[in-house]
Amino acid sequence: MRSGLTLRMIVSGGALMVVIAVAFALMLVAIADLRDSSQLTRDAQRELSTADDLEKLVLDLETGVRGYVITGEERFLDPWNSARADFGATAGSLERTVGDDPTQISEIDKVVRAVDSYIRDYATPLVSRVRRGDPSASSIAVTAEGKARMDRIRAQFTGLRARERALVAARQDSAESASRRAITLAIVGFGASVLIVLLFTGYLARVLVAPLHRVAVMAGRLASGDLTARMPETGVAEIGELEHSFNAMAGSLERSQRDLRRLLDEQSALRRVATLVARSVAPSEVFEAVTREVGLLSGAEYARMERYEADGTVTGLAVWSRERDQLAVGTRFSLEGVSIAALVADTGGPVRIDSFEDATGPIAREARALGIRSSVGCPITVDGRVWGVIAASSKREAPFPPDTEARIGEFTELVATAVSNAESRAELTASRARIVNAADESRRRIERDLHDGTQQRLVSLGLDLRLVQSTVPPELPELAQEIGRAAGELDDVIEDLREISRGIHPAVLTEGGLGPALRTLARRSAVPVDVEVERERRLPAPLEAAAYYVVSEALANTAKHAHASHARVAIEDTDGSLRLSIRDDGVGGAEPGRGSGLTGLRDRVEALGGAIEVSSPSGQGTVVVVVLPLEREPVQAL
Amino acid sequence: MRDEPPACDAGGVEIRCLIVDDNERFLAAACASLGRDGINVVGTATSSAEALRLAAELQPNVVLVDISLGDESGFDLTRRLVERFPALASSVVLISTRAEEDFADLIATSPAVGFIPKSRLAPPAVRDLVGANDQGAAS
Repeated sequence: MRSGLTLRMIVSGGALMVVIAVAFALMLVAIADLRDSSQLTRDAQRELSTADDLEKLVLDLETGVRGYVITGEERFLDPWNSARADFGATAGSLERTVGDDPTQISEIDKVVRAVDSYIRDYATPLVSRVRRGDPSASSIAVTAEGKARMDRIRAQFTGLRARERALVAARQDSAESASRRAITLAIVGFGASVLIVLLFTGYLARVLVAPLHRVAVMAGRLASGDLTARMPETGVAEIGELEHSFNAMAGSLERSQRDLRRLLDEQSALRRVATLVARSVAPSEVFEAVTREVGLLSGAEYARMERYEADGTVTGLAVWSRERDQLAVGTRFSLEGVSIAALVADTGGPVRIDSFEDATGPIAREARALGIRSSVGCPITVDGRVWGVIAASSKREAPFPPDTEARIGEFTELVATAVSNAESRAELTASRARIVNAADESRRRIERDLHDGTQQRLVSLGLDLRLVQSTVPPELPELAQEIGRAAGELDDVIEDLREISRGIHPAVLTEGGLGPALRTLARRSAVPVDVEVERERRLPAPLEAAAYYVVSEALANTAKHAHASHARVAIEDTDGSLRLSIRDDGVGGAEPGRGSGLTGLRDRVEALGGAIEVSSPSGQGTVVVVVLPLEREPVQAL
Repeated sequence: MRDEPPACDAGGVEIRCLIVDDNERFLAAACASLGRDGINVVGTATSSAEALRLAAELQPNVVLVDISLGDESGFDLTRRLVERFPALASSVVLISTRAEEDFADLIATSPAVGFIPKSRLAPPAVRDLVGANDQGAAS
């Protein structure tokens, strides 16, 4: 648990105060020392002057005594008397000023005793003798004794003063050093305080201001959309928590944004695929798109879609790879061994394989060869049966996220819809084709039956009649005439029947194909028609029939409604499709679906997977363009 | 049995005719009609294979080929006959119950010398088509 910022502030503020207080305390001590030293110095000086006063009193004593001795006049004793009176007080005063210095006190005691002795043992008896008029009082011996005593006292004073002076000097030195110490301490204290304040300021800046600035900068980056912004979580206490919270907030925002973007990507991908499905594009296009989207969204290296075959194999329908090496499309794989396809076929639900190590079978071998570590797959269920599988594979160590199956699952429904739609369409187309073919086939058969049966018999009958006619004896001309008339009528019947047969089905189409049939049609047309067939070759009967009836109907319309002077039919047979165009120079304005007869052709054309387009601007003629695919995509190739 | 010429009188005529048609009823009528007026129908065939075999065997100088030979095509047979027997180059005549205009294109591009509708099949029509140049080939 880190200590709180408040505590840190208190502690550092307290530390600052302590340092400053110590500095000031030291200064105060130094100042007190200085004052003491000054006081002592002043005391010593007062001591000196008191000592001087005392010595002066001693001199007054001597001067007074000596003057009295010499003159004998009483007035000369005045200084002696006053000095003797003051001496005790002054000596006491001196002792007090010395205080408790024992050396000085003993020295002063010595002086006082010497003076007392001088007064008591020498001066007072001398004064008495002078009063008495003793002449020996002024003897040399007595004078010499006085002088000797006085010299000793003076010497003692000199020593006392010298010691006092030394003491004063020592104390002055001490005062000066105390003063220097106080100044030094003041400077050091000031410097230390400044330094501490600076340090404290710096600490605050480092601990509070700089992190706050970083937070502000990062908040700015976040606000401007840079959600990757992070800051080092080096701050202390609440600042550290603030940094941590900010980083956590940025992380959370980034995750939310990533989730949102992922969702958006997924929705866009689904929409793209759904659009393809809705547009009824070729299923192979849907398969490729779905496989690519699944691969991209799941973060896989490979994605593939496979269809289950009746023989227990799977066929690759679409593959997507982040890299170059591709798995083959269209190749069949056996479902032996371990594979997503086999597992999905077994379970009918989403599956995942987290390792292909030690797995057997061709698919597992290929997966290992490609370096695939894990795969996840979902079934494509069409009309209740497991139709195919979408699988995503990764080379990375980490398995796919747990929601991968669900995300792939959303696409499988679209694939199932596309497949179901395509199958329905294919079935519808096939059933239309069957109906049209059946109708064509029965017309062809009726025409042929008529030809092989009735027509042949009528023609033979005609030949027989002519033969009979030729055998009639010349004498029966009427009979011959009658027979001839019957034969002629038979020819008319045959001609009528031929016309009917032709309407049922053009024999030339079966016999000679599209080119001859269209040219025959053109010859019979009321409007002159040019026919241009790019490539004369036989085509499948349903295609020839569709093309023939389209041209036939278009030319019939031209003849009936267009008031055209000319028409032109072109058949281009290239790139796997047959392109028919019938154009006329008539009045235009044909509307398909209003009795034009072209509507009926649409079924026939669409049954073959073709397309018909009628363009008939008023006054600019009519163009009918039909494209019929020559190679039908088999339903199996879905 | 079909190899035998039908019972029609050949009577020393110069045209040796082979008729190819898949309809027996018509074959009988045609034999009678043509043979009546001096065309020697040397044989009849109902398929391409038979026609080619008889053509080699009987050496006809005129072959009448029905355009609709069941599942086979008279045009194909015409081409093969002319390829195999160059002498027949201007002696193959196409016949049909259908009208000439129905097959005009195919007839024009075929090596056949011409077309006769079956209902108009008669010796003069055949003679008109094959003309005089066949007479040499016949002898």
